[in-house]
Amino acid sequence: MNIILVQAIKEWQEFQRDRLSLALAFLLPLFSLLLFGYGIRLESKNIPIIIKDLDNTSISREFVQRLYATNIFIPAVTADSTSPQDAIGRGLAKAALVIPKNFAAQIFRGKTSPVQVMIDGTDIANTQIVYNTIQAANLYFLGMLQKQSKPDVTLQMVVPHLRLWFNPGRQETFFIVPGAFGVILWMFPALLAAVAASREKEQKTIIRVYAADPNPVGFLLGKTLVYFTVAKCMAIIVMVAGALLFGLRLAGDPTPLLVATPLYVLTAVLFGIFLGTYASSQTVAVQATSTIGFFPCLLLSGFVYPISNIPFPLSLFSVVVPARYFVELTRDAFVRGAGWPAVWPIPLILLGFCCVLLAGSWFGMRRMQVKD
Amino acid sequence: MNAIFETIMASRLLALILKETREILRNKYLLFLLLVPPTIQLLILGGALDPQVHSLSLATVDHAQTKQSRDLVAGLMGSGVFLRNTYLSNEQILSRQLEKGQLNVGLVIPPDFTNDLNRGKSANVQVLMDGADAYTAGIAGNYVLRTIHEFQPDTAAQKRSGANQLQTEASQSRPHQLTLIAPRIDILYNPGQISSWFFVPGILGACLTLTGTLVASATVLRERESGTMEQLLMTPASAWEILVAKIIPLLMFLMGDVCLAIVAAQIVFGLPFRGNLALFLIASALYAFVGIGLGMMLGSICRSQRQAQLASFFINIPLILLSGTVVPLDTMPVILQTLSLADPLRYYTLIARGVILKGETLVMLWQQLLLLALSAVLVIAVSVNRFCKQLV
Amino acid sequence: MENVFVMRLRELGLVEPQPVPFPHIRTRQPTAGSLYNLEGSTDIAMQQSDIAIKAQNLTKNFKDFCAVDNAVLEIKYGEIYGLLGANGAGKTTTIKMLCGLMAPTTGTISLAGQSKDLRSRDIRKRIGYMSQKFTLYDGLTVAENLQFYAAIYEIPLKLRQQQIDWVTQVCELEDILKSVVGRLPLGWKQRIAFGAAVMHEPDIIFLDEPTAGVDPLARRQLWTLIREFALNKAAILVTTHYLDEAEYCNRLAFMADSKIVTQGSPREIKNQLLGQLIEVKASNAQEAYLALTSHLDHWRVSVFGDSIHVLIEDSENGLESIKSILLNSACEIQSIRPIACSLEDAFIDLVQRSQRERS
Repeated sequence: MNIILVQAIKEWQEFQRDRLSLALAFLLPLFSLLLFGYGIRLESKNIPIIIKDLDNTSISREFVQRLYATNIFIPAVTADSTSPQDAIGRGLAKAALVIPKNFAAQIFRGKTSPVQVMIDGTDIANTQIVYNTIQAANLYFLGMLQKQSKPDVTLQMVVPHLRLWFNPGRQETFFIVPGAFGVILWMFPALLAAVAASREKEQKTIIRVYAADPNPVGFLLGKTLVYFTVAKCMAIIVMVAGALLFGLRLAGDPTPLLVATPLYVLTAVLFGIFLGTYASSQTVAVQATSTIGFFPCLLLSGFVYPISNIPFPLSLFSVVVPARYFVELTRDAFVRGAGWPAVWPIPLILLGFCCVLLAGSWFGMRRMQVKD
Repeated sequence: MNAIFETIMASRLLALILKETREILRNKYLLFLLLVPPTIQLLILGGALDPQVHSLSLATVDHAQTKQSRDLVAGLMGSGVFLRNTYLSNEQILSRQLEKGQLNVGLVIPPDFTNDLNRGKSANVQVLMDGADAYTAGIAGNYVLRTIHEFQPDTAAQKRSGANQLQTEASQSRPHQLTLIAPRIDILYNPGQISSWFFVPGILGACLTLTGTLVASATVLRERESGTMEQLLMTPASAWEILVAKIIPLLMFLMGDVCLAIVAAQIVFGLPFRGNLALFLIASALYAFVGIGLGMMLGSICRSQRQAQLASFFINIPLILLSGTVVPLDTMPVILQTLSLADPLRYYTLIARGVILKGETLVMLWQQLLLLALSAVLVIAVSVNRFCKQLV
Repeated sequence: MENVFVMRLRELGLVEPQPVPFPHIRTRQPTAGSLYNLEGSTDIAMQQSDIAIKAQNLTKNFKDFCAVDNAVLEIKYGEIYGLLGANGAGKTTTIKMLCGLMAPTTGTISLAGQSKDLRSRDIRKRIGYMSQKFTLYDGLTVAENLQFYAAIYEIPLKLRQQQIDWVTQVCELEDILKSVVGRLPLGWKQRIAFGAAVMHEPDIIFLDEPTAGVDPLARRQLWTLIREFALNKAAILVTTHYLDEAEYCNRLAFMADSKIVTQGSPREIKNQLLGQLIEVKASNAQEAYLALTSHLDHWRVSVFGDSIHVLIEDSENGLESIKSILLNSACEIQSIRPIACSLEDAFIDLVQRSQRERS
């Protein structure tokens, strides 16, 4: 116990001395929170579209109006002479719609009138939205036409009543910000810990460490203690900030969050220490942390894009990303509010990760000792 | 000619470049980190990221249990938005599953569903959605509403004659009415909607940034910390020679990364390459310069590796976020979109996607290329300046 | 002790290698001409003056302490000048200022006759520098390191290999040319670093603790080389901890507490010692020391291994008083004789003197 405290105090002093690291350790998470919370919105509006109305009748103009009324499209800014395909090619428009010449006439004759639609397929996220919007506008328009001619009959046979649970206002931040917590509270604690764990190697004082302590547990736990405390503070600051800035509130029982958050940051710190133990220098430690930690955490944890979308066998990777589990829990804690029945396995899983990482670090240190 | 060759061979710059290259080659770890992670990250993330809404889970509480109700569900399952449907026995279970986040959409069909339809009245159904993910809820919601709207059941009313002339007429014309306007959708450049095609060019840039800044700052700092910088400063070599000699090998390695990554993406994802290779390589080199320059700047400003690496995160996160590589740009608040104009990765991604997927040419991309070149020049100039200042 | 060690090694057959003459590649005509014995290269004329390095009122102040206080130095071409002092006395800071790596707070420096722009390329071409910290590239092999330094100092292509061969021969690097430097022991690294620093035949050589961590045979060899360079009119500034090496220098300066306490040739410095040194060997050195210091000034008595050196003013009375002090104590005197002053004695005395003057 003593060894751990001694090591922890030494580590804390080293950390405190580095003003820049301190600032970055606390400012960076907040900065990232702002960036993620305000910047990430998947829902597109204002998609530039070129609409060529070759018919130019009141019906066709109404159709065009209907399309703009969805609030998804805005008219693309291009010179008239550019062909729609060219405009898309240049990135001036994301979609193009061409209404043929006999549009209105065909409709009145009860014949099908084709409408040419081109969508820029490079932008994957937008394509679905454009497709859906055009179809929806189309149906609505036809419904309107129908009402005008035969007001007693409805086209729609089945009437859905939609209820949006948990987030009736459809605030994207309720999805993004809890996810951001997961990402931020993984990346930064892990990074700080990795740098700390490999510092002795960088300064070449690691031999002294091996010599002093045949059982490296004290060394490891000392560092863990310090960065765990730092990370807990980080967590509190970040979550409170997130709640204040983005209107997040705790939904339901707060205890899962209170239990899981320390476990999660502990996992992150241990991950950093684990990598730092095996790395031969600080650069390597950080590179490894960012490669293995940053990208997967950012993109395979369900933070932005759903995990269900990941094809097998890549979806297996997501299983070993602790952030994925924590993000599920934060989303439950702040949005759904089901509490323990929904999330009880998660703290256990996190604990499991902690044990594995601690064991791995211990083995790594022992291996080094034997080698030398 | 001989004289020029001799001058080059004898030059200090060549000696420095040789030294730097040999140092990198000898450092197995560094070499590995330079060449392998970018490609692997590209492949994993390229394959895994998919913003489209599909593979959702649906659960139905079907109190009617008739052919029409089953047809309705089948209609919803048809397009692949939902991966699976589970039939549940009552609303309580549905609610609980929704609360736990195990479901995306729940459908409740009332017992008199078929009766209503047969009588020519509209039937009501309940659709419950998990709104936690607003984006997915939006798209799924639209899809569900639209599909249900379009749903045309086989009803008994059509079989009854004379009951209601208006009704039968209407019901006969309905299917036809709905197809009066038929959009013919043509998805350009990526008709298969393969999401890896969208992400790979951008992720390549992001990887270049991460690797470039980290390794470049490490080479500068390592020299400083080990004392060999002092020795170098006492030689006739000038500061810019020292700097350029560090940049060139790194540039070569990063360009190697780019080629490796593109080839791998072609093999694994079938990524096309529709544009001018030279244009792409020039843009990649310029962007690699930016990454390396940023790293060198950090190496000169920061006092230790730890500071440099934390600082590189400070730069890299906004760089990647504001570039449009991973999350869309056009949905960000205006202030962030304006900041994005200062992001070199944004221009690189535009160029990369443009060249690879759309076959865009220099004529279309010259503005982006110019801006990229400008940012490369700016970053290198600043880093040279800082580098020189740190000497004495 | 060291002599004995070296003799033993010689007996065992471990002879230091025959000194290999340095392949001189530069002309040293005072008139304008090429720096190297080759057509085509141009350079400025070597300065007429003999003074290679000159410093006046050299001072360096850091935030909370003064590292170098008003140092005055003058080193001529062909001179080996030693800068001695304890760690932290200011030696390394002085060297850094002299070679232009650090700007002085006040004072003037002139290097190779130039007092402005000490970091010009011309001057750097003529300087050899070996720093205290390690200066070779760990990731490169010995051969690659030498090739690098040969190239960076602009040794003409044709002459490079011969210079590298010289270093290889002198430092006995034949077997380890292909070894990666990072894996070599410190002693080897120091030798290679020295070779790399002088390969380009500099006029002015700065050596910061070149023999730290090097075995005695190799140290002798290194000094033979240094002397050869000095004979060929290079100015050499060396810092060292080893006082026996200081004997090799033409002139010395002692630094203590950021000041230069004394300067001069070894003989001149030894002569500054006021008084006569007596060497006392007793059965119990510790007891003898205690006895002597209780009766005489502390600073007069120093322990050297198992013997004690006492500084007395007056030979005859002094000798008698020492004998009587020791007889009164429990010690048995084994030998007591006057000895010549060594540099170490002089150094300790000077340092103590300056400390006394301060307080």
